[in-house]
Amino acid sequence: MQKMKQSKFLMIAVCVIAISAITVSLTSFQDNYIRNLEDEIANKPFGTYTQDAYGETVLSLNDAKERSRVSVRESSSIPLDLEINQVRMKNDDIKMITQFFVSKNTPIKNVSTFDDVMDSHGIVIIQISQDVDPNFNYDVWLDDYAKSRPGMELVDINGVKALAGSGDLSKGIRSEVIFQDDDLQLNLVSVAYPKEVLIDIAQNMR
Amino acid sequence: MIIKNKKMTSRTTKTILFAGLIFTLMVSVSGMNVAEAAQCSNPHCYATGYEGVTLSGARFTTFVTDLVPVSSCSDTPTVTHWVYFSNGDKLEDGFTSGLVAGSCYTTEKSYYATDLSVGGYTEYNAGSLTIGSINIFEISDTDKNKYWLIKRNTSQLANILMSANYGILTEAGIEGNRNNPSTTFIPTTHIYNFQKYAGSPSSWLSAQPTWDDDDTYKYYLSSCTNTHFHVRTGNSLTCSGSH
Repeated sequence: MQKMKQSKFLMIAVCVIAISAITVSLTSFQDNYIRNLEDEIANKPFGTYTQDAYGETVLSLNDAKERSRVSVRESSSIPLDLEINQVRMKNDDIKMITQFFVSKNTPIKNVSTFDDVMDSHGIVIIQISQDVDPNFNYDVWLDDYAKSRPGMELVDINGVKALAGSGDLSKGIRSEVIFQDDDLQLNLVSVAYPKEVLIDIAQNMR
Repeated sequence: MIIKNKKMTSRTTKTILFAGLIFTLMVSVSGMNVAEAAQCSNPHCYATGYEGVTLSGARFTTFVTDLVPVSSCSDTPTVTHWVYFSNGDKLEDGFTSGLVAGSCYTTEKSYYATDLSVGGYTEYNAGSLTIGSINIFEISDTDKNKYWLIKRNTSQLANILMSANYGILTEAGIEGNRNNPSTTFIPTTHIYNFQKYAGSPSSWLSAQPTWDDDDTYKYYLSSCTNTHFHVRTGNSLTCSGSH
């Protein structure tokens, strides 16, 4: 009896120690991962997608629309685990409105660059309105683009020919959808979602 | 009884030691330094100038210096520039040594690279350069037809179809993968005449970069005149020599 009790005690002690060790190691690893992710971000090329590149931060898509005087599109099909982080507006030779959607659980405290959004498992949606060269043939460009980019294919978005491709997300290679809606060109980009999700978002843009 | 107690004591000791070993291993694994990402190996280290601006071209001039790798082909000493696009795509061209497009070069190589959605990053060997030569590296779509030319001097290296006829940021300078490298990793290199194809109507204009070096890992640039810079690794440097 005594022997059995001692054996049981030893087994319990070993289990408690092992569980404690696992808990400590997981906590430490997570802390290290977050710290090192922030270090990695801090050491990225300084000029990578800074504030200037996407223009000023605005309050909302509507705010951008009123100030830039261009039409905008908003999707009703953004993945539920994402939230809008910021909207940027560039209003010079081009009128560009950019939405940064990031994971609700992103460890990045101050998202400010394109790479931050990608690291946050997010999606960037870019809407551009610019004067179109009358000599530019959009259909020819679509066909040429699909031919020149392995992995990109022609798809239909709300009856309009568009482009879509999935990157190797495990290697951080971006998926993208590109389509034209009246006077706007829209690009949807992510390293967290395949083209099917981006196509769904695009199809539900109004 | 005494013998049995001795056995139990021995077993107990072994068990506790084993548990302690597991604990120690787990803690030591968790405490392993995973901060390699913070050093020049990943991501690389830089000394560059950048400008966030809507542009349809960027070019700069460089005086080519010796870039022989310090060790085998694991180094990536590079003098280069980039044009960034709003969807994350990037185009770059410049010169380097070490690994280029999967092959190892111990002499300077002109190269260009693309980082594209779906396709990822790809490098291309663009021919040899001579030490002491002056080269103009250009990435541009002056026709604004979304076909971007990558050029070195008058040679067209590539013609790449992009989703836009404008970029949103340009950057130029040096890049490398060694922490605190020697001054021979990237010796004093002159870079100057930074230009952007921008404005309305567009034309070649002087770029207005914001300059930034890396004093932690010893990647430097010095403004010798408003438009002429010396870049180097290892030690901060002076602007001796002609400009």
